[in-house]
Amino acid sequence: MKRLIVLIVVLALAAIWLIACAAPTTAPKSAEPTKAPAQPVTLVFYQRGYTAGGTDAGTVNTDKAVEIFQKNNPNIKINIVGIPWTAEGDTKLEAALAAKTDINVFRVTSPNLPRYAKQGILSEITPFLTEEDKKDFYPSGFQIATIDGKVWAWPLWVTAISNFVNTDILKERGVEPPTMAKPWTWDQFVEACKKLTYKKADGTQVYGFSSSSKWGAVEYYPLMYIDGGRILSADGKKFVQNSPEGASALQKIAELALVHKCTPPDFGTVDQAGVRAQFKDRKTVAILMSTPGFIPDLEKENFPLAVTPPPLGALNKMVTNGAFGLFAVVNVGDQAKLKAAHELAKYLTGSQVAKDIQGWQLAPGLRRSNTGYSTNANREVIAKLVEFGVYEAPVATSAELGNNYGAALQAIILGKKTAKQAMDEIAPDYQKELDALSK
Amino acid sequence: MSYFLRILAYILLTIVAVVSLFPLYWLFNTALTPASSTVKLPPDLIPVNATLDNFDAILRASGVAKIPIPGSDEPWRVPRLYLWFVNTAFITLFSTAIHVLFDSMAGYAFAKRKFPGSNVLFVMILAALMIPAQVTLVPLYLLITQWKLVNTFAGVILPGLADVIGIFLLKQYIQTLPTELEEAARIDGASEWLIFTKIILPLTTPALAVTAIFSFQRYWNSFLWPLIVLQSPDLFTLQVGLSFIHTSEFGTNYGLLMAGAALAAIPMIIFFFAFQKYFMQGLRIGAIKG
Amino acid sequence: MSITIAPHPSLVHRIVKFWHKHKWSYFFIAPSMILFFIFVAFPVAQAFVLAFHQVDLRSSSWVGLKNFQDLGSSKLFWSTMQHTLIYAVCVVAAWITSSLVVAALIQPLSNKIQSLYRGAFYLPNVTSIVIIALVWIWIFEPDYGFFNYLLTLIGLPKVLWLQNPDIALWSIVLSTILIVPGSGVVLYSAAMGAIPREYYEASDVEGANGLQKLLHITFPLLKPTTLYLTVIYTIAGFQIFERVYIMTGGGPINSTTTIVQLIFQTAFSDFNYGRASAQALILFAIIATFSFIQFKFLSTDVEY
Repeated sequence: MKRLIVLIVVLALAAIWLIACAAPTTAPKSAEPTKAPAQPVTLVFYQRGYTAGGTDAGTVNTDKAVEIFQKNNPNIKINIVGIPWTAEGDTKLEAALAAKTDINVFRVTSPNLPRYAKQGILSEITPFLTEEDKKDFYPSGFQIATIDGKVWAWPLWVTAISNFVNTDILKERGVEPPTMAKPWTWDQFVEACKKLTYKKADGTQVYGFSSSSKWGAVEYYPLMYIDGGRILSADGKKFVQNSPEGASALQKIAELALVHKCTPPDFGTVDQAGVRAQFKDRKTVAILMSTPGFIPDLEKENFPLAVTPPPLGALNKMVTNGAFGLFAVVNVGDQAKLKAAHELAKYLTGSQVAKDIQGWQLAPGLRRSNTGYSTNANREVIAKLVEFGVYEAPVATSAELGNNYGAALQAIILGKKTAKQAMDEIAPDYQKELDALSK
Repeated sequence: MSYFLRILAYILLTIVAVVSLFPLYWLFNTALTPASSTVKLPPDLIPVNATLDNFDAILRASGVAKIPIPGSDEPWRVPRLYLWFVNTAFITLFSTAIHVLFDSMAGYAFAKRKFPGSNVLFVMILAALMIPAQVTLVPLYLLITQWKLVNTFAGVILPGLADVIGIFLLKQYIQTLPTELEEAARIDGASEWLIFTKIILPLTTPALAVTAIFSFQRYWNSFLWPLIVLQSPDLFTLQVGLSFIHTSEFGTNYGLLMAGAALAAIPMIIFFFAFQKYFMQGLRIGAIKG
Repeated sequence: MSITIAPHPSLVHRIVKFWHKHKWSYFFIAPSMILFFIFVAFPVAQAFVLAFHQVDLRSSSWVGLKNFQDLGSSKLFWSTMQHTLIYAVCVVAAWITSSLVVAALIQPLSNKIQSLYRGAFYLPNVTSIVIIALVWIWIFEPDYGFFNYLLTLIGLPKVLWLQNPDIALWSIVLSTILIVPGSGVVLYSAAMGAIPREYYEASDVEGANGLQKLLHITFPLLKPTTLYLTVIYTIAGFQIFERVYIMTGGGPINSTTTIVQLIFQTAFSDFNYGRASAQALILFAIIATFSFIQFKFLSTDVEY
C-alpha cells in the first residue's frame, strides 16, 4: 500500500514536470523589444467564447477575422486567449490584469467598461479615429464609451432592446401590432396589454407584458426613457432620475403590474431564462421586452414572432437602450504595440469584417455603413432602432450602490414605494458617489 | 420503536430519498432533449425526442487537439473532449491520492501525538477554512504568476493540495481510535512509520474512503481556479472546457449545460459507489481484545 | 569532598533531545503544513493586510481602519450580515439533525441497501449548484411551480415564495433544510459503522431499547464527527453565495443578500480589494466565534 502510494506520487510528479515543460506552446508570449513600427509586433488578444481549434461559430469567425487581419498586416502576430461568457470569465480577465500579465486587446461589454476605464488601464481610441470613422459611427455609438470627451473603447455592436410580440395571441385577441412607422403611444400600449391578459379555455392565465427584471439582468430599460427622463445627466455627473420625467416613467412601469394588472406575478423579480420560457415555451406572455440575442432561438422554433418598437411616452420620440459589445485596448508603453492593437480593434469593429465574414454581426453594428445584421424584416427593425438609442455615460459606481438601486427599482414595481419616493431616497447616496468620482 | 412506526419511517425515508434524486433525474432528462435557451419544467417523464445531439454538439464544439508524436510527422488528432477527461482525471486522482496520504499523516499527528505548536497550528488550519476563497484568489494568482506556473498543471494542482479540510476530518476520526494499540506496538519496538501504516491506517479506512470521495468531488468539479490558471485549450479540465461551450454573449444554452453536467457527473457517480465498500461495519471487533 | 553537580544540559543537548522526541510528529505534518504555509497561510496573511489598505488594480495605500468604518456605516452590510446569520443558524441546526436521523435509520440495514440510500442522498451533490438552484426556482414559481400547485390542490392561495421580500429569505432557508445533506449522511454512516458492536451488546444485556441505545451510546460516541460537521456546516452556511445568488440575485429589494456575494462584488466588480478583505475579516471573526463555542461544547476525548 505504502509502496503503491510512493510510486503514484513519483510518477505523477514526473508527469507534472513533463507537462509543465511541454505545455506553453500556445500560451501568450512575452513582449518583443520596442523598435520601429515596421518591426514584427506580437499582440495578445483575450476573446470571449473562444476555444482554440473549436468549431463553434464564434471561434471560427474570430479565427477567420484574425487570419485576414494578419494577412493584411504581415508584421503583426496575434495570440488569442479564450475566456468564457460568464462572471468567472470576467474574473479570469481581471486576475490577469491584476497580475500585469501581457494583454493588448480584450472584448468587453458596456456594463463592465466603466470599471476598467476608472482603473486607468485602457488606451484612449480618440487619437486613432479618422474623420471618416467619426462620421460613420452613430453618435449614440460613442455615448457609452465616452468619459470627459475621450472615447475609451471601440464599439462593436449594441443589443438594442425591442418588444417581441406573439402574433398568434395578438391575432386571437384582435390586437394590431405596432410598427416602426406606426408605433403605439403609452395609452395604446396599456390598452393592448389589458386586452392580452386573459384566461384561456383550459384555465391557463396569459399576461400581456413582461420583461427580465431580476437585478443584474434588467431588460425593461427603454421604458425608463420614454417620458424624457434618464438615470444620469448626459455628462454622467448628476443623478436625475428623481426628476418628474424620470419618476413618471418608472411609475408607469409599476402601474402595468399594480394598476392595470397585465403582468405575471413574478414581474419585478423574474430572470431572463424564466421570462423567456414563459414567452416561448408556455406562451403565457404576449409581449416580451428583450434583447435581440433571443431572436435566433425563436426563429429556430418557427415562433410566430414580430419585432416591434417600444411604445412612445410623454417625450413622443422613439427610444431604446441596450448593452454594447466593445473591444478595449490596454494602455501599454510600447507605442508600436499600441498602434497595432488599435488597428486590430478598428478592423474587428468595422464594416469590412462584416463583409469578409458572414455571420460576424450577431447584433446591429454601430456604424451606418455596417448593414451586416439585417438579414430579415424583424432584424431590420432592430437595426433601425439603434439610432434612437439613449445610453448612460460610463460611470463606475460601486456594486453596493448598484444593489441599492436595483432594490429601489424592485420596491417601485412591487408597490412598496412610489417612484418619486424611491428615487428621492437613493438620490443623495448616488450623487455622493458621482461627486467622489469627478474629483 | 414499534414495528409499525419503523415501517412508516422507512417509507418516508424512501420517499425523501427518491425526491432527493430529482435534480439528478432532471439533469439527465434535459441533457437528452434538444437544446434551447429556455428550460422545460417540469421535464417530461421520458424525454420526448430523446436525442444524443447535445453530447454530439459538445464533442464537436470542443475541437480537435493535435498532439505531436515524437518520430512522426503527422500529429495525433484526438477530440479535445477526451483530452479534457484525461486532464481532469489526472489532476483529480493525483490530488485525491496526495490528500489521502498527507491528510491522514497530519490528521494522525494532530489527533494522537502531542508536540509543541500542535494547538496553534490546528487553530491556524481551522481559521484558514473560514476565509472565503474570493479574497485569496488574486494573491494566489500573483504567486503562481511569479513562479511561472500559469497555464500548467502544477499551477492548478499545488494550491489545491494545500486544502486542509481533510486534515480536520481525519483528525476527528483518528481521535476515536484506542491509544492502547499504538502503545502496545511501540513497546514491541515497531517504528513510527510502521505504526502509522500498519495499525492506524487500516483502522481508518472508512474515513479515508470519505476523504477520497469528498476530495474527488471537489477536484473533479473544480472550476474557477483551473479556469484562471489554464489558457491552452489542450490543458483544460472538463468543467473549464464545457463552460466555453454552453455559454455565449446572449445567454446559456441549457441543453448543452445539462449534457455537459451529465458527462461530468458520471465518473463521480462511479467513484462514489466504488469507494462505498470501505464503509464496512465492525472493523474493530477483536482489535482490543488480547 | 567535592560533589560533582551535573551542569545544566547544554543547548545542543536540549535540541537533540527535543528533536528525538518530536521528529516524527513534525515529519507527519510536514508535507501538509509546508503546502499550507505557502499556498494558504501566506495569501491569507496578504489578504488580511490588504484590509487596512485602499487597494485597486494599480496601487495600494495604508488607510488604517477606514475600510472598517465605512462598513460600519453601510446599511446594506448590516442587513446582509443579518440574512447570512439567520441562514447559517437555521441550516446548521437542520442539517445536523436530519443527517443524523437518516444515518441512524439506515444503519441497521444491509450494506448494499445502505449503499443505495447513501447514494440517493449524496449523489445530487455531484451536479453543479446551478442545476440545484434552477430546480428550486421552478419549485417556487408562482404560477407553475410545484409548491403552489400543491397549495392549490388543498385549496390554499398561492404564495409568492421568492417574489415577496418579507418571505424570500425564509423560502431559501426552507429550500436548503428540506434537503438532507449527503455529506452528513455519508460521514455519520462511516462513523457509526466504526462503533464496536460490543458497546451495543453490553447494553442489550442491561435491557436497553433502540432509542436508548441511540441516545446514550451512539450520539455521545459520535461527538467528534458532530463537531466536524457542525464546524464545517457553519462555515458553509456563513459562506453561502452562488445558490442564493442564482435564485434571487440578492433580491427582492436586497432581502436575500449574502456576505460572500458582497465580498465577491466588492473584489471583482469594484476592484476594491481592501474593502473586500475587511468584509472577509469581519466574517471570519464571526465564524471563529461560533466555532470556538462549538469546540467548547462538543470537544471530547472519546475513544472507542
